[in-house]
Amino acid sequence: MKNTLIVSKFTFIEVYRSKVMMSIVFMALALVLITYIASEFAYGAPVKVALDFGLGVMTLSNFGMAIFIGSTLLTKEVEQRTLYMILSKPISRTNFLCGKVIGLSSVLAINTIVLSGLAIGIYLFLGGKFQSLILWASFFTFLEAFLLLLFAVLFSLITNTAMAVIYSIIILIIGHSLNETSKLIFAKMNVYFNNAVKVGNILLPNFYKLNLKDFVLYQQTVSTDYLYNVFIYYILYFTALSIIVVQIFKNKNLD
Amino acid sequence: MIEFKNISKSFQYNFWDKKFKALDNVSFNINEGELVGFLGANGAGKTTLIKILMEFSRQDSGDVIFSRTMGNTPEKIKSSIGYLPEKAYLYQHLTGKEFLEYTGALYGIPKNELKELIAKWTDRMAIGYAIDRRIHGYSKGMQQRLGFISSLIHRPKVLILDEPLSGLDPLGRRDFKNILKELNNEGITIFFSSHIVPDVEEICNKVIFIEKGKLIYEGSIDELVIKNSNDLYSVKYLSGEKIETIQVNEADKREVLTEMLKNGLNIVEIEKEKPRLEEIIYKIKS
Repeated sequence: MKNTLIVSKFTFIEVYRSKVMMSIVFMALALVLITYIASEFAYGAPVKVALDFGLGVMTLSNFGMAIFIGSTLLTKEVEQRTLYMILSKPISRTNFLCGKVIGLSSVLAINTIVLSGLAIGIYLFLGGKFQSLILWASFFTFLEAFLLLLFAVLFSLITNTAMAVIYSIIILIIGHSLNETSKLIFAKMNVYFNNAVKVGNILLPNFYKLNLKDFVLYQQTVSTDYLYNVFIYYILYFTALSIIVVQIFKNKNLD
Repeated sequence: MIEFKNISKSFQYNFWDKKFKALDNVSFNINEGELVGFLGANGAGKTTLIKILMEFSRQDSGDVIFSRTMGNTPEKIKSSIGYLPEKAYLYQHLTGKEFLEYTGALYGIPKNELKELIAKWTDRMAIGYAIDRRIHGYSKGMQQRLGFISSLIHRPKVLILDEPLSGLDPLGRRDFKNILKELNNEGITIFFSSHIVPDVEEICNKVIFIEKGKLIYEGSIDELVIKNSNDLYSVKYLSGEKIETIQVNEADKREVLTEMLKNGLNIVEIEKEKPRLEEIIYKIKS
C-alpha cells in the first residue's frame, strides 16, 4: 500500500508538470468565456444557461483528459521504458498500476474542483442560488471520468493507443445512450435488439445514471436513495473493471 | 546465486510469421561475488534474457532460480537486485533528486539515510551539481549515471546491468568501470551485458557468451584465453639501444634463454603470447 502511494505521488508530480496542467488553465479560461457568451445570448434564463455550459465544459474536459491520459498511461511507460526502472524495484505490478491510476485520478479531481468551482462561482455571481445537488453532479462527473480512465487503460493494454481512444469514446457514447435506447419503441418491438440492449445494460457502464445535470437544471432535486443506489452501482462496476484491468496487466508480457 | 535453467523464448510478430527463436535452451549460473560479462552481438538475445530474469517477459520454457540468500518472496528478491536497463529511461518532468527519492522510497530507505546516500552517490558520479534540475535537461550520459545510482542506492546483492557503458564518453566509461570493480571488491555480484569485448575483458573475471540465442561459452576469461593460446613466448632483449623481440616455443624456451644469457644478452621481458578476448570471440564465432 505504501509503495502504491509513492507511485501515485510521483505520477501526480510528473503529470502536474507536464502540459496536462496547462490544459486545465486553458479549459478554465474557455469555461469563463463560453459561460459568459452563452449567458449573454440566453433570453429568460441566463443563470441556468451559465450553469449548464459551465458544468458541460467541465464534463467534456474531464472526459478528454480521462481518455487521452488513460490510453497513454501504460503504453507511454512501456514505449519509453520508464516502467522497467520502477517494476525492477520491490513493487508488484498490481500496486504499480493502482499507484498510476490513483495519481492520474488526482489530476482529474483537481480538474473537477477547479472547473466546477469556476462554474459555480459564475453561476452565483450571476445571481443563481446555491444547491448541494451541483456538488453531487460535479462529484458524479468525476466518478464517470474515473471509470472512463479505467476503460482507456484497459483498451490500451489490449490494443494500441489510437484504438484505445476510439474504443473509449465508443464506450462513452454507448454508456450514455443505452438507457434511452431501451425506451425506444423499435427496441421494445424487436426481440433481438431488445435482448442486445439488455446485455449491453449489464456489461457496459450506465453513464446516463451518473449524469445529474438534468436534475440540477430542471428538477433541482433528487432522492438520496437514487444517489446511494447509483453510487453502489458505480462501486461494484468499478471494482469488477479494476479486477479485469489488474489481471490483464499482471499477465502482460512487457517485451 | 542465480541459475538460468534451459531458458527458451520465441517471438512471433504476426500469426502468419514464422516463429523467431530469441533464446534456445540457455543454461548458466551467476555465482556470489563474481563480476560476469554477458557478451553477444546485437540481437544475440542478451536483453531478452535479462528481461526474463527481471520478470518483464515470460520464457516459453525453463526456469530462473534465485538462491535463498536473495530472499524468499518476489519483493525480497527484487530488493536484493539492482537493475539498470539498456539506456536509462527516466521520468523527464521529475528532477534528478526527485527521481532518486522516488526509487529510494520504493526500497523503503528511511528519508534521512536516503538524503545522505543521494548526496554521496551523486557526488561520486559527478552529477551532484545538476540534481535539482529536471531530467529532460540532462545529457544521455547524465541520465545513464542517474539511472545507475538508482540501481545501486539500496546496496543490492546483485547488480544486473544491460549495456551500462553504451552512450558514455571515455571518461564516463572509465568511471563506470572503476565503480563496478570497487563494488565487486566490496562483495556485490555484478552481471552486465555488453557487445564491447575489451570492456568485459578489462574488468570481468567470468564471461558468458551467447550467439543467436545459444550459449557458446560460460567460464573464466583466463581459462578461455589459456585454452586458445599457442605455446609461444616472446622474449624481449636489448640490442644496442634497441629492444628486439624473438619468439620461442615452450619446448625450446629453456635452451634459448640459457644460450642468450651465456652470450651476455640483456633480457628485458619474457611473456607468454596470449590472444585478446576479442580475437577468441571472433574465432569462436567463425
